[in-house]
Amino acid sequence: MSAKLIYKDIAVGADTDAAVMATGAGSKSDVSKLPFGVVHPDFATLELNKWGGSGSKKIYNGQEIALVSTAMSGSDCTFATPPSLTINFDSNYTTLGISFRFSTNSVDYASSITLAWYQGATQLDQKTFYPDGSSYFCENTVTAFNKLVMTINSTNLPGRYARLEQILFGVIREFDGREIGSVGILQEVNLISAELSINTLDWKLKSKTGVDFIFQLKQPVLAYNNSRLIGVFYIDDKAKRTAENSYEIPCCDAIGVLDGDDFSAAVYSDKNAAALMAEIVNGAFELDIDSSLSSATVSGLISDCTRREAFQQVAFAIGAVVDTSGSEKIRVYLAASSAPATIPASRVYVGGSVEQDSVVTAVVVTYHSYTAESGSSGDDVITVGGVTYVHTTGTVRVDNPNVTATDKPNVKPVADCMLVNASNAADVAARVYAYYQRRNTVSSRIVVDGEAPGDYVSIPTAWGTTMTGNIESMKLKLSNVTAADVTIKAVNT
Amino acid sequence: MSLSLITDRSQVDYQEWLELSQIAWASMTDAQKAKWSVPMKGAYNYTDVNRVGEAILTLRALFASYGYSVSVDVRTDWKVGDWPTQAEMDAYAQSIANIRRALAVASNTPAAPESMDDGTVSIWNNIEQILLDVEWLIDKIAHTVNLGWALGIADIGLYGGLA
Repeated sequence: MSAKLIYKDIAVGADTDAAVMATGAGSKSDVSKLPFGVVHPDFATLELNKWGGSGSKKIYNGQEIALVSTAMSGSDCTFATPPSLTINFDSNYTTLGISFRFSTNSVDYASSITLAWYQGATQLDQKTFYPDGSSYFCENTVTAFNKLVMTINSTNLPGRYARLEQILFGVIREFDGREIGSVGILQEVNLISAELSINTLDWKLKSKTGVDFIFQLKQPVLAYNNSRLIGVFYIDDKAKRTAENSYEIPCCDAIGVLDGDDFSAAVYSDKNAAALMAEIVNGAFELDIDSSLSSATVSGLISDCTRREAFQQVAFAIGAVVDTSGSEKIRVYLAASSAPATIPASRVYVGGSVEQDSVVTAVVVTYHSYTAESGSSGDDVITVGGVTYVHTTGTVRVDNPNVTATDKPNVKPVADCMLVNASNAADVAARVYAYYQRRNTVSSRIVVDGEAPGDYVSIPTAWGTTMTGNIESMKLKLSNVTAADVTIKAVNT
Repeated sequence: MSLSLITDRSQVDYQEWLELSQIAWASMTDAQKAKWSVPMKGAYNYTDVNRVGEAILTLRALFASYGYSVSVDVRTDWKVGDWPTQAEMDAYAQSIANIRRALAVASNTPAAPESMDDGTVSIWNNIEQILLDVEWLIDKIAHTVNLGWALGIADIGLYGGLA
C-alpha cells in the first residue's frame, strides 16, 4: 500500500482561457485541443523510417490530432520555416513553466523550442529549451503573462513533422511517501442532502527537489492510495510555507470550491434537475449524474446563495446523494439500500461504538409555490429577475406511529428548501422521515479496501452483532496501511 | 518477367529500426546516421508501398494479357512524408487479396492482410511473398496449361494442385 499525491501545479483556468493560433499547422490539426490534450495514435506515415514494424501503427482515418505541422524538418532536423503557436489569454497567469506532451505513443518530439512570454505588447521573457523526450517541462517562472508564443525549431529526427498533443500551463508533480508527511482526508455525504459537506485534504510537503512552489488557489491535487483515486481536491487559500522546503497545504473538494462562488436567485418551473445542476456548476467541474435521475425536475425558488447551497437544494429536492470521493467528477446518485458489501472483522479495529439518536416523533415539511402576479396587500411578495411572485406555503406532516407515551416530542421541521412544492412535498417528507428513523450511527475504524462514502455496507460490532447501513463519513490517514474512521448510518433491523 | 520484391525482413531488422528510432539525431554516431538516412528494412517506407503497388499493377497487366481482369486500386507515386489514409490502405490490402484470390495459390502462400494497421515485418514479407507466389504460378501455368482455363477453374475452386 502506498499513498501518492499528484499536484497539478498549473495556472487554473488558463486552459479554457487560451485562444490558440498556429502558423505552419497541417490541415489535420485542431490546435484548439492543445490546452486540453489529445492522445494521437502512433500513425503509420511515410516519413522516412517512421512506420516501423512494431505492430502498433495505425493508419490515419480522421482521428483527432492537436498539432501536426505542414512541413517536415530537413536533414538537419530544423525547419526551413518553423511552425509556431501564439496563445492569447484574457487574464494574466503565473506559472513555474510550461509543459509539453509531444507524443504519447511514439518517440517524436521537438528537440528545440523557443518560448516567449508577453503581457500585452511587452515581452516578459524569452528562452529556448531543448526537450529530450516525448514529454518535457520548460521550467521558467514568469509572472502575469497573457500571451505565449511557441516556436518549434527542430525535431528529434530528420524528416519529421512537428507533433504536439498538449500544452499544460504549469507542471504536474507527483509526490510519494518520501515527500509527503501526514495526509489527512475527510470525506462525507449526507444521505438526503440536507447539507453538502465539503471534503478536505490536509497534507504537508517536505520537498526534496529544492523547487520553490507557488501554490495557487484552486490548483488540483489528486490523492491516490496505490492506483485507486481517493479524491480530487483543490488548494484552499491558506497554504503556508513553514520552512525552506516545507509547506502545509489545506485543500477542499469541488463542493468547497463551489462554496466560494455566488449563484443568482431564480424561479424554476419543471426545470430538469440535471440541467440545473450543470448551470449551477457552470462548467467548473464535470458531473456524473445517475441515469435514474436524468428526468427528475424541480420547481420553485433558489434564492441568492452560493453555488454549493444551490446545488444542495436541488439534490435535496430530488433525493440525491452528492459526492466527490473516488472520482474526478461530482457524482449525483441515489443512495444504495440493498446488497450490502461486508466489511470483515479482520479489517475492523478493536473498539468502535454505536450511538442512538432520540426518537423522531414527526417530520413537518413546508412546501412553497410561486405565482407570477403582483399580489395584494398582505401577500408574501418577492421579486426575482424583475418578475414579481406571490409566495404561498403549505405543510406535509409525517407522524411516527410507534411513538409511546414516554417519548419526548421531537418534531423535525424542513422549511427552508424552496424547491419543495406541493408535488414533491410528500416524497420529500417520506425521505426525511425514513432518514430520521435510522437512529443508529456506527463509529468504527477500518482498514480501507475500496470503501467510499455512500457505500451500503455491513460491519461487525464489538459485541458480536452486525449492523448494516450507508457510510456517511470517512476520515482517512494515508500511510502504508490506509485506515479510516468511518461513521455508518445504520438501517433498523 | 521477374518481380524484385523483399521477403527477408527479419526481427533483427525491426530491432535495429527500433533502436535507432529512439536515438535523437544529435546523439547518433555517423554510422547510425548513415543507416537512418536511407529506408530501413525494419520500417515500411514509401519505397515499399510503391514497389508493392508496381508489382500489383504488373501482375494485373499479366492477368489482363491472358484475358483475365483483376480489380486493384493502388498508387505508385507515394513520396516521403505522405500520410496514407484508411481508404487508400484498405484498397491496398484489398488489391493484394484480389491478386491472391485470382489463382488457387499453394497452401503455404501466406494469407493476405485484412488491413494495414498494426503491421509487422512478417506481414510485410507476406505481402510480397503472395505477389511472388502468384507470379510463379502464372509462369508455371502458362507453361503447362492454358492459363485462361486455369483462371476460370480457380474461380470455381477446382484448380489447386500446383503446390
